[in-house]
Amino acid sequence: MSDAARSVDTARSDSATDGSDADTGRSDGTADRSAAAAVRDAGDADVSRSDADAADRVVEGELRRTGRWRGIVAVALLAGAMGVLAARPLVLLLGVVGAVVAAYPRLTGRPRPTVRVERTVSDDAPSRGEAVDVTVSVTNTGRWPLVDLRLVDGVPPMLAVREGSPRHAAVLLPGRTTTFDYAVGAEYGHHRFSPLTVIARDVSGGHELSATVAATEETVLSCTEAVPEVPLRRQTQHRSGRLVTDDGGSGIEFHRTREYRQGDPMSRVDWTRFARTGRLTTVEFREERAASVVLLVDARASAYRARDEAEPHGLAYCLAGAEQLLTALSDTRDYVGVAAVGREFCWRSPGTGADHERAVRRLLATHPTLSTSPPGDANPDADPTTDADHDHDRDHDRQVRELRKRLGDDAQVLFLSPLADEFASSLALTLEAAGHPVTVVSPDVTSDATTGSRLARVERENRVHALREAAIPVVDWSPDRPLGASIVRAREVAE
Amino acid sequence: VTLSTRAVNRPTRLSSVVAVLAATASVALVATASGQRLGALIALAGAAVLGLGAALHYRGYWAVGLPLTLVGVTVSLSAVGVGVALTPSTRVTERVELVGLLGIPLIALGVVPLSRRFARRLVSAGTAFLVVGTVASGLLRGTGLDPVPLLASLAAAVVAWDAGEQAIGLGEQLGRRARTWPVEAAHTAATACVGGLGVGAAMLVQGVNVTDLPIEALLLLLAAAVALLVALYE
Repeated sequence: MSDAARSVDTARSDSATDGSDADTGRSDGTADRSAAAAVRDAGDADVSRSDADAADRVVEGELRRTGRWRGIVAVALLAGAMGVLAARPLVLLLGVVGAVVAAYPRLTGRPRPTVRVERTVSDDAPSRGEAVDVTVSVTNTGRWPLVDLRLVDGVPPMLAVREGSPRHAAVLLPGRTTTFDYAVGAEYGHHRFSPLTVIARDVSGGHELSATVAATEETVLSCTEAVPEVPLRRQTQHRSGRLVTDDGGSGIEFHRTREYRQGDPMSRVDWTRFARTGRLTTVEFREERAASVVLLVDARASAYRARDEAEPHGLAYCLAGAEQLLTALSDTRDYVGVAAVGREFCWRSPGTGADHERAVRRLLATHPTLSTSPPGDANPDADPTTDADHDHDRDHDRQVRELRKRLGDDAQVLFLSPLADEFASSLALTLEAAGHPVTVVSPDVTSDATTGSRLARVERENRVHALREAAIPVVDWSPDRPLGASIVRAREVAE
Repeated sequence: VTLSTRAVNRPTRLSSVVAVLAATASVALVATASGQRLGALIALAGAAVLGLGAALHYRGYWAVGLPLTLVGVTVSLSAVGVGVALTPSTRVTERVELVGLLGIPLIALGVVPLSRRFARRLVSAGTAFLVVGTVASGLLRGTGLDPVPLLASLAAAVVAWDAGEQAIGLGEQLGRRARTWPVEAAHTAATACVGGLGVGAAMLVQGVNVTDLPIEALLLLLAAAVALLVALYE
């Protein structure tokens, strides 16, 4: 498992060589995970052509030596030494057995799998809570048997596996297909399946290749249901729309009458009253205006916390919430934009229309900042008070400045955050203070499993209270319930 | 609701069972006295009870499972004591050979596992005891011994370690819910074949009869063997 033994088989020319030098010939091949990740992200990492054999599609990924047989060398040396010292030829012979076994991983070839992955779902537009069967078939398209193929399907983080296992192991002869299926419970939102993780070992387990292989067709589960209402604040744009304001103007509902001012439209003059009293008065109606809403998603490392390992993390809920709010908002004339603070600043300015909605959905599904896997900490063991952490904070502050610049004057913010740290609540307060009405939608991903998580829960509750004290509405969303119910409840609490 | 999503990251069943059985075989192959054989049987029975207790424990019947697990561990570990008690004190060789018996409970604890962090170390420690038992048997019994059981005993120890490590690795990567037995079977079969090859190679070397060679040539051969092993380790 030593780092030095790891090598990254990224270059295509590498796969073309006979593999004899792929491991040792590259002295710079220390575990370069980022390079391997880049290959995976490149989309075509699953299938790329080898120059040696154009018909062979090779799965590329990180090839490393597991080093699991090294201990046997010690056994062989021990037996040999004891045999020599005690002058016992029989024990010396034990060393021969050890040496043969130690040579074993050298004699097996490196795994170079070529596979095709197909994934089908029983229903790609299920209703919430419905069980959806997912069937994955993996075919060995190469010419060599794959003796140790381990497969882990990329289940979307929001979906819980109800039945079966998304993990599978198989011995695959050339041309053969292995199939496994499992069932997931549908949740609200668009759920894109991630590529399948393939771990191939040679028969001795001495070499291990791990890679991700995308299915031939992308699988997306769409389970959409709009929330009944979007918790918008009363400050608006000067475009006519859905929000009923307290300002008089043109509209439907009677607001008040006032003295005629020059320039008032003739149709709004109260002619009956003019006939009765001889004075010109103007009728005003309640103005209905459109809101400009920015869905701000908290995608910093702290948003990736979850109740426990098996449950979706905060960001997954935030994204599902954003999807639902977007669906509800796109039925109105409100202008909707998206922003995210995290690895990098992500922004789509408010707009309307079907094209805009599609673009926003695509952004929510594909932007690297909103990736459902947590930001890769270079060394998670590092002391949290190190420079890297300060760097992150500085970077986030910069992103917030950028956000405030782009928000303009009249946008209001729907802030989706699990409120897992102080930064999130202070961001809401900062935006509110800068004149942008903020509504916080916060999935509750805390638990009371341990003392630490109970403390985190209390801290989050304190943040919710502090925000409500500052007149910022907070939708405290318990993920067991639909977001719509939480919004209605939050409104009832506020009134 | 989401209870079933949890991958059960415990060592896989088939390889775990193979590991314990191979460990028992490794001990039994060098056992000659009835006391040693009984000891191996007791250790195996203890490991089986331990596995049953752990299975019950993980299924939620911890009130039954936990005591059963403890009984299994105790029985399995006490096999050494039983072996020593049944062997006459004059036969030191047979008593020393009993050290391999400790390997069975250790490997069983590794694949149950007692602790996820120490699973691999427990299996390695168990294998170390098996190897020491085998080597000690070879050292103490001298030249009059039939070499095949001794060599097979080491091969079985290697299979035990390999299966144990494989069970832990597959458990970590795929968990117990996944269907992993074909891979486990193929891997273990291959390792067993290599072990057999090793025994065959050792018999060949014995047949060559190197005792007539001058001492310099023998030393040179030995140096070459060590160099080969170091190269294999790198």
